[in-house]
Amino acid sequence: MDALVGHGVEAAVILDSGLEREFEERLADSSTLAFRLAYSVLRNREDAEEVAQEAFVRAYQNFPRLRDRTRFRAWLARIAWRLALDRRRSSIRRERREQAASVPQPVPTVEDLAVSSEFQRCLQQAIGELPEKLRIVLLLAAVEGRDMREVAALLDVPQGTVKSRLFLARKSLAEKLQWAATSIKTS
Amino acid sequence: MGCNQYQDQLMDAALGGLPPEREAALHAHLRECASCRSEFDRQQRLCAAMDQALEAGVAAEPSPEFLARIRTKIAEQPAPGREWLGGWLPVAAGAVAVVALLVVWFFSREAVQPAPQVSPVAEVAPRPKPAERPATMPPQVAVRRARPSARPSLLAASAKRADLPEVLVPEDQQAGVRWLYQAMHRHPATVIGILAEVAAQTDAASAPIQVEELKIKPMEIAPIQAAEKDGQK
Repeated sequence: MDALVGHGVEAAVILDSGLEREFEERLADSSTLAFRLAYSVLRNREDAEEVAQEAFVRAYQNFPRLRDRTRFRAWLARIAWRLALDRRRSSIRRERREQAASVPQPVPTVEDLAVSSEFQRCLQQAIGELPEKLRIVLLLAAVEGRDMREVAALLDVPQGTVKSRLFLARKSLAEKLQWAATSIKTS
Repeated sequence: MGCNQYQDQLMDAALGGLPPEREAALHAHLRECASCRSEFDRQQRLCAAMDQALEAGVAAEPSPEFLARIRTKIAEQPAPGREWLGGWLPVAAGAVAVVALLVVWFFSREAVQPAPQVSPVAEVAPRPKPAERPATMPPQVAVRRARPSARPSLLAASAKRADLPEVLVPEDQQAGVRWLYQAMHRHPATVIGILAEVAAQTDAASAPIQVEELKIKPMEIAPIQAAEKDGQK
């Protein structure tokens, strides 16, 4: 009986070591993806690192339940994306509460801001207004260097779907930026 | 096609989303129209700036300690394999226990046979042999012996009479079962009689149910006193 128990414990240890080794390989391969995806949403390095760390912890806790280990990057991307969106919503609510409590600061005029900063601000605002399906395609395409095959694999959709959603997202951004550029010129 | 029609296509062309045949026609027009060409160049610069800003926005690198911090956090977690096993073993054991209970319950239900409609004393009296039973049996009511520790019967009138079997009936069905019992008591072996009672209960406008008469012999049960005397002899 003791021999059987000993073998059982040994088997469990081997399973743990194998899983941990496999997870470590996935960690090295996917850490930048998780960070950049979180950063694209949060625009803050510290917050993005915290969110990416939390995504890896959750992935680690549920790793044995992942049947297809080849889908790990896509799975991790979804976890990081969800956590980043949740963090962003919390930040927005906190900022609104702080703004309601604090003395209103004067809003910088268009002339006070550098054009590139204003362009970046308008771009981020336009990205935030996109529907989620278009937003994630746009940001993943930017993270993956416009590799449609990789983005399609991460999202588990056909490449044609990725291309059409990316086109719609870019068109929406361009129209909003064009309107914003016209407003800046005429103001 | 005039400039107005091509103006709508300039953005799509700048984004690279125009079908090839329409793109060829547009470029043919741009070669001839300076105004549209100028607008197209502006759209292209806007899209290029947008793409550049997008890529710059996600090109951030994590800090050098990023991976180390992840490994530290993961090291604080329990090992996934053992925890997974430990977490699922109680669930699996519980599921097996539930299945075992269901099997025992199912087979214990199967062991409870629907008994013929007999008086309580029939348990101690000798049962009629199969050959003595009539060829066709009257409709029988499945009854269950009420044990002293069991819940009191909902059919209070029948439960009070010791010579009648106890039937557990839901509260909302008591009136119907009571009526059915009384009808069967009045016409113990005649289905037509029961159906006639049903017709009497229904709306006068409803057509009566036409059923062929069934010939069912009543079941002969020896009276209690006679059975006891036979046993004493």
